[in-house]
Amino acid sequence: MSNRDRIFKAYLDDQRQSLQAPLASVLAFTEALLELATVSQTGGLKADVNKIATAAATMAEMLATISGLSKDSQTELSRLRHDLRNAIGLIDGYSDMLLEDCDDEEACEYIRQILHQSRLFQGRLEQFTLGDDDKSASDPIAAIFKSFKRGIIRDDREHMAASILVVDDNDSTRDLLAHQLQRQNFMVIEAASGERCLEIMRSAEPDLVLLDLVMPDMNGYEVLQVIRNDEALRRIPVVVVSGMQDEEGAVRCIDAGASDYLLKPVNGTLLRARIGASLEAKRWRDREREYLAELEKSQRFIRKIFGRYLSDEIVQRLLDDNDGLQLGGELRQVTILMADIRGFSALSQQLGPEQCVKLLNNYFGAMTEVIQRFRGTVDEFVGDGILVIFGAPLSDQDDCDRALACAVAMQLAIQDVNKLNRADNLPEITMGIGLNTGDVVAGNVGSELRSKYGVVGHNVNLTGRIESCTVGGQILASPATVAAASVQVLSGDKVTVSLKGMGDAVALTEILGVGMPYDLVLSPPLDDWQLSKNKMCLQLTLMAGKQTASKQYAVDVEARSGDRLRIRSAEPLPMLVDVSIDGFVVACYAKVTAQSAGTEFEYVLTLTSTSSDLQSALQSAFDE
Amino acid sequence: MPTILLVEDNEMNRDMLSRRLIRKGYEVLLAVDGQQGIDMCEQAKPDLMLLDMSLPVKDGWQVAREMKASAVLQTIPIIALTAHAMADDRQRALLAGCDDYDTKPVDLPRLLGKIEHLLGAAQ
Repeated sequence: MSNRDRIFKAYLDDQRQSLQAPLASVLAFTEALLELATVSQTGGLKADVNKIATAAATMAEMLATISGLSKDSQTELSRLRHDLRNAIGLIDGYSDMLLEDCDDEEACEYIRQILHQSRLFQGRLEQFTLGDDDKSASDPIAAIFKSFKRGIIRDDREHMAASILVVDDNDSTRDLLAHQLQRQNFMVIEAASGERCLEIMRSAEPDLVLLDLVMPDMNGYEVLQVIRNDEALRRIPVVVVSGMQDEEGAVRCIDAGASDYLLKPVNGTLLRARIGASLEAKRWRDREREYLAELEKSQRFIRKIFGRYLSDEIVQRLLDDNDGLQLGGELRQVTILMADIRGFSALSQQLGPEQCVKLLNNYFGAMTEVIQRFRGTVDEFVGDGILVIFGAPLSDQDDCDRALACAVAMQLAIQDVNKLNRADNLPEITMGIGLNTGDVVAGNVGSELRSKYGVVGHNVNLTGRIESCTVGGQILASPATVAAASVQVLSGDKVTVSLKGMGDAVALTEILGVGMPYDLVLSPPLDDWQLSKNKMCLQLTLMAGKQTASKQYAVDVEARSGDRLRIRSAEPLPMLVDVSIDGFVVACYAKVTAQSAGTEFEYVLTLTSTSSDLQSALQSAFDE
Repeated sequence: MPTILLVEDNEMNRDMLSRRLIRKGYEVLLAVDGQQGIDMCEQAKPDLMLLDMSLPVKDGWQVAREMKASAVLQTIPIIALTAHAMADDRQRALLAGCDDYDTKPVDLPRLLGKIEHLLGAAQ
């Protein structure tokens, strides 16, 4: 084998490998796609991905013939190109359709990668020649070296010299220009016609085009027209090189979208300066485009992160409003909603961790759906508790009304949660909700690594205390919330409690429903009072630490309706305070939820957690 | 909606291109070789023919020449499709009687532009 043959063989191997690489990537991405459930479980998508894989595999097989080419295998190369272009069309076409059909973000990213690899392949294919632009060059070896020097289109454009497409139908003019540019270390691609120019622009995406005006078939003006109407091509600057020395022609070209105009014979220094300026301008535009793409990406990110806490509508409004993204700390009036599952700690001790998580998922899933419906911001899930804000990051006239309606809707939705729980063999749950309205500090709270939008302040703590006064199924609202509501509120008893940080006597309102436009009403508890048959006495201990020091009371049970006991005490009892019922094996808790209007020291005690021995004691007191 | 006859021997290409055209709202008829293409033109009178130039039985060049020689069929606009991107392909296709020409891989927006242009001119 002669030296020339050896060099040619090495050249073919290099070309074959550079064509093989993007195909291997396409195949890898199709495999990744088929691993996605969205693709593998949808017959149509799966079939189209498989067609892409088949096309890429067939193309890879076709490339084997490259090794057998010789310098005068123009016909074979032409046929190979023909077949490969057909197959590229398949990859592109099926990918485009997949993009239309698929809304899974990850899948779409893979498909775009496939399209990118296909572009890369096509660019390399169009560049692949056996000599100088498929013409039998006078010195094929020189032509091959020239091709080597030009290199092939590579992935990382950053580290590559700018590529320039020289378009001229006159071979010697084109060669001269190409030669000048190569000396200036540009990567040069040549085209002998307007048509070919457009094809190469599409496939190889050069950084700049030097365009001759007078050409057969399609002249420079026509080429400019096509470029101007093509969004992808418009990005590539075109410098017109003309033999005609007329100002009008120059103006016409600039009008048609050319970025500059040079006269023949081209002066080397001038050429370099003009090319430099056009490339610089393109770099700025590219950077701007990248910046815009980056911006879009960060908006997607914001949507994803905030989407977990906020309704779509609020995320969109945040994105639309430039100031909305500056979520610095600020004082805002909001309505705060706090909810949690009654007796959850006791419940979680009975359940295994897996069941516990299942139960919380049923609960949080249903609640988040309701909260989003009323455009609340889920600030936090803490254990079994949910903290929701109405009025931040965006405030609205009806923040308080939506919070009230949301609370009622959440209580109503607990029925669905319990239906799920029953199906999953989990215990039923009840939830209490506290509402409060007032100023809070809202903003991004946390460290740089982990920050989230949240609210802090006295009013938040107060809401927690109000919430702790509730029993299952109950909603209690602070006076501020009741005052801020413009919707009609169906309220139950007002209960006066002393809350730390709010003074001695705070009248909390029990919310039973909200009027139009929400029109939501809680189903009232069944009043089915059954009088006790045997005397039953309970020893209650006021829970220490919350409001007052622990104190004990002895009370008589007079009647029962479900979880509620009517009791008589010898002395006044504080309202809505947790008490423990002493003397049972498992700790039992209750709350004083109402005071009888007529009789002094007669109260309703609602059980918040109970035990089997308490239940059997009650049973014996009521059923003979 | 206008009817397009796609004459293409490659099965995958036929499947892909016809589906893409149907998505754009066109009615699509299919023929797998040149002779079938001409026969279907006579029967179904499509509004436009998309003609792959390298076909078995009767190639695209021959099909275009016969279509334009027929008084009945010559009004049907033809767009030649070829994966050969030689400079004189366009010239040859136009000489053979094609009304327009496009290269493979097909750039769909560009092809649709040509289709709409020809359908608009035919009306």
